[in-house]
Amino acid sequence: MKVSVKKIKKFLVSACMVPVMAIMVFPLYLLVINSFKTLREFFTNPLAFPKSFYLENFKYVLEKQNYFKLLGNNAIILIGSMVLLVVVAAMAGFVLGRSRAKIMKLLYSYVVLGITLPTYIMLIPQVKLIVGLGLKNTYIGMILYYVASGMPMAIFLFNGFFSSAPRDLEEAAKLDGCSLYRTFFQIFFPLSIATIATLVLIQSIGVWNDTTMPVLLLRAEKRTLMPTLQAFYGRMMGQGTRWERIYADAVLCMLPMIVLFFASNKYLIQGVSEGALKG
Amino acid sequence: MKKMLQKLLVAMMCLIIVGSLVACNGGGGGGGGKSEYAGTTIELLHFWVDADDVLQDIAEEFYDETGIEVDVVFSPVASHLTDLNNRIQTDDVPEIFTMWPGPTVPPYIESGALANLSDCKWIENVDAATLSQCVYSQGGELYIAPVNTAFMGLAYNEQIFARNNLTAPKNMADFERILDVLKADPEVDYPIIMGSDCLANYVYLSCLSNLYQDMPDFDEQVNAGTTTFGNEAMTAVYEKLYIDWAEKGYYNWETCVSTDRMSKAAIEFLDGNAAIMRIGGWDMSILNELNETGTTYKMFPFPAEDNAGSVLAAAGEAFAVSAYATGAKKGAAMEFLDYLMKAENNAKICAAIGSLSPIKGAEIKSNPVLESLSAYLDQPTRGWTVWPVPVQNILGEAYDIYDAKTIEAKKSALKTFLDNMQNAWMATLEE
Amino acid sequence: MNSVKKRKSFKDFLTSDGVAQAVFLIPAYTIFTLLFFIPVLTSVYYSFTDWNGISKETNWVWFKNYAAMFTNPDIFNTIPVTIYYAVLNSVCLIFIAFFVALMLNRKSRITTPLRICFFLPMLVSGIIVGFLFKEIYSPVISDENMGTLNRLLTLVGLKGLTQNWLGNKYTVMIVVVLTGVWNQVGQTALIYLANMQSIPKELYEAATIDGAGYWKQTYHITWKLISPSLRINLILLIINSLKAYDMISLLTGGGPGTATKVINLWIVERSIGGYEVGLGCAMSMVVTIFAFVLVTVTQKLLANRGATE
Repeated sequence: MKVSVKKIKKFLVSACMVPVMAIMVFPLYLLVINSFKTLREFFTNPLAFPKSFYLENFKYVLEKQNYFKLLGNNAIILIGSMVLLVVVAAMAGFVLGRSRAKIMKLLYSYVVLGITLPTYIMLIPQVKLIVGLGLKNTYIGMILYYVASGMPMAIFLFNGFFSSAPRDLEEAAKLDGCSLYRTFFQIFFPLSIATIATLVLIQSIGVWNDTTMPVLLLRAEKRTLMPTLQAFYGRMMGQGTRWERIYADAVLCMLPMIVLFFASNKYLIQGVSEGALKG
Repeated sequence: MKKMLQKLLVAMMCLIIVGSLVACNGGGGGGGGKSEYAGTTIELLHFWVDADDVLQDIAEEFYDETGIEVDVVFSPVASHLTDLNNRIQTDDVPEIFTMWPGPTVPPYIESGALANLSDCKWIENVDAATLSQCVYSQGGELYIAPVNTAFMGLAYNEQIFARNNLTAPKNMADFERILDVLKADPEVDYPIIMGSDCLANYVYLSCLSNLYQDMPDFDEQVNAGTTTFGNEAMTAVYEKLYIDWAEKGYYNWETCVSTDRMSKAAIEFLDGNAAIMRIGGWDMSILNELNETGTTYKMFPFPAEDNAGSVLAAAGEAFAVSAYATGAKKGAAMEFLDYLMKAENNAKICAAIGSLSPIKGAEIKSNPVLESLSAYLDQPTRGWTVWPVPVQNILGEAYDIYDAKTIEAKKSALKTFLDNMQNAWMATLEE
Repeated sequence: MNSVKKRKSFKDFLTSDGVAQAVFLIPAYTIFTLLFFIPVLTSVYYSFTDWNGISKETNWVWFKNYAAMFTNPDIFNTIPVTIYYAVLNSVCLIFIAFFVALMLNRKSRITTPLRICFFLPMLVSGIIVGFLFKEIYSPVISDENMGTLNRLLTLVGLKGLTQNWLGNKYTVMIVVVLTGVWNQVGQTALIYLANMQSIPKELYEAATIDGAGYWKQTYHITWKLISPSLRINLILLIINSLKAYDMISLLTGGGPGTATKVINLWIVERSIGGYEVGLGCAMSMVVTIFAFVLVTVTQKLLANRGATE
């Protein structure tokens, strides 16, 4: 049986990918193995496999914080903000993308300019506003905050998609006597699954990993996972930081996201690539 | 049937009544006089990971005694001030919270966020030097209550010193002789290992003993313009640290700019690769955690020309009461502050965070390391540096000196560096 | 002919074009205006005051903050550093991610594990990346006590290359950018990939018939047809580079001296650390305007490119 040159080439290229994969995954491997070490072992032997699986770090972290409650909070806020963002932005993007009225262009620019803003400085005014609305220490407050922050990107993507969606569908729907609502929810919204997937991917990571807002808006029981990392810093970054505990905490914080990622891996990549991006 | 239901109802009523009696008794059963503010709830926001449990216990005892409930909330050091500012903006200020005495406090005083504590009874029990560091410089009023006396100095490996027949230095010449002996010891890589914030803190420690002993009003003179930051004394301090000692190989300057310098340096120190290292009280718990070789250590201050040197003993952390609290909450907060400032409670907190206590009569379980340093407290001590923040930020970063190859180039790089510091200092005066 | 008079019901009102459109737009715009636009205006207001972040009163100081920003000597260091970082980061990612996307687009058994390996680093937050890599890049303190990267180099015999990656002002920026690439290449490549997968296969088949090799095909077909994703990526990269804070702050805190003090680090240090929030707002406004200009220019340049294809 002859093995074609093409197949050999293919195999070689794939083989070259292996070291690249190793490099990409290596820091994560470090993160995981070091979370099983004592502080001393961590400093003297960061590369090696832990001598024994020292579980104290995980125990300490789980005791110091109510992991599952915080996980639940994080999940509620993530799901809530993603659902709301997708629905609201798709609706707006649909109208913006298809209508030819001049005012639409103005409204579009109004929102999309928001992409360029550095969020750090707006924090205090935003917090004051949310508190002023009476939404301090509530899930709704956080959800609305994330929806507002994600709005520019979301409208940008939805506008792009809907402005290039085929006209004939809309014509057909109109002939059938469908209202705008029907046209949208039954026809176009499902069509945009690709854009939805992209948006959710880009935004979820930011929402899950956010450390500043939960500290400002939420009290202890309602908080999310990431701010807990700060508890293990020492007096200053370099003094007395308990690295092995931070690593254990980091692993615990990232675990849900990773699990979710593996679960949705197939659908996600398919979803993003199916419709392709039209900007 | 009806009779059964009636019986059930009566039983339930009894249970409820008994239950509420028990609950009430449990709550008030602690005995002791109740405070006039019993029933109020206040919040304590603090940043000590190690003292969280201790504070919870103290809060519980306080509740048993007075009926005031204290909600102890931990906020990480990194975000503490931002969190506090945010809560001030949203009118949700904790009634009592922790702060760091020093340049971060005046903006709060000037914005009216802190309650005036000048008339509190516990003031007379606080050590005078520590208290003076907490007093607001413009006006002499007290707005924060010192919790601990933090200290910083040089730790030395007792085993290494013993086998080289060395004891703690009596002055600078003695110290340099010791360093030479250590350098000759084959088992020691470098006599001194630079720990965290190494150079900046070494500069300040050296200033305590060498600059401030001769010129105690250095800060005021710079402000007034009668001397510059880069005057003779300061230049001597930097030259010795950055040029002399680096040249003589007393320390490896490459370890200065690294991550988690303190813990990595601690391993070198504890393993006997280095004999001397700068530590502060807060570092002791990490040192204990990392100690696998049974090394013991004691401390001494940075030596001065002709004496053993001045210790840095500073008000490390402090409590403050919110000025926005009123009525019962304010009263409750002040009462809790009085309770916290009692000798036995303060001792518990200080023991948990690894510091000396500024309260007279507080007994912290004897710690040989702390005792070794307190022996030097007869020399004048000073607190943290109060130099302007932009100056503090670049205090140790004279890396250009290391890049220079010849002694003359190094000295001229040093002069440039000191001029920059002077300019940064002057710039803050203009603002 | 019978004309049927319709009674104007509420439902009819709702479904009439203009109103329906408004209903679609209102939720999004309300949330956005309330929680985004108004705080921006507030921030602009603060940029004209001397607010210190704590007190309840502020004083109007006109353009003093803006002037202070431009007359501050630090700015001569911060702006070049920021531009250096933004350019290096964007250029590296644009090209590296393109090649990665090419690899991810192949039909091979290794593609799925490859995709997983590239997408996992995306999930790690900036803070975790910061302290994870800070440890990896630590210098050699002694034979037993050194950072992971240096340890690896020693193990393979390249001891001479070990150094203080984050403490050396020549290597620090490269190291920081590489870390950023590790974190972001997944997302950037994903967007490229999505675009690549929509390129019709017939184009490639036709090119093969015409005798074009792999690289020629890649350049003429793939590279030219991914303009939409290139645009998105470029915009995202520029903006994220200017917004960079968490990772750089934890990795170097501004770098040895000020070698990696990107503008956001400077803003946060002065505004929150120095109790000058008004000044911070002013600085952020300037950065925003700059970013906006940059993005607009990029859009114009790339729109032309896309149009000619």
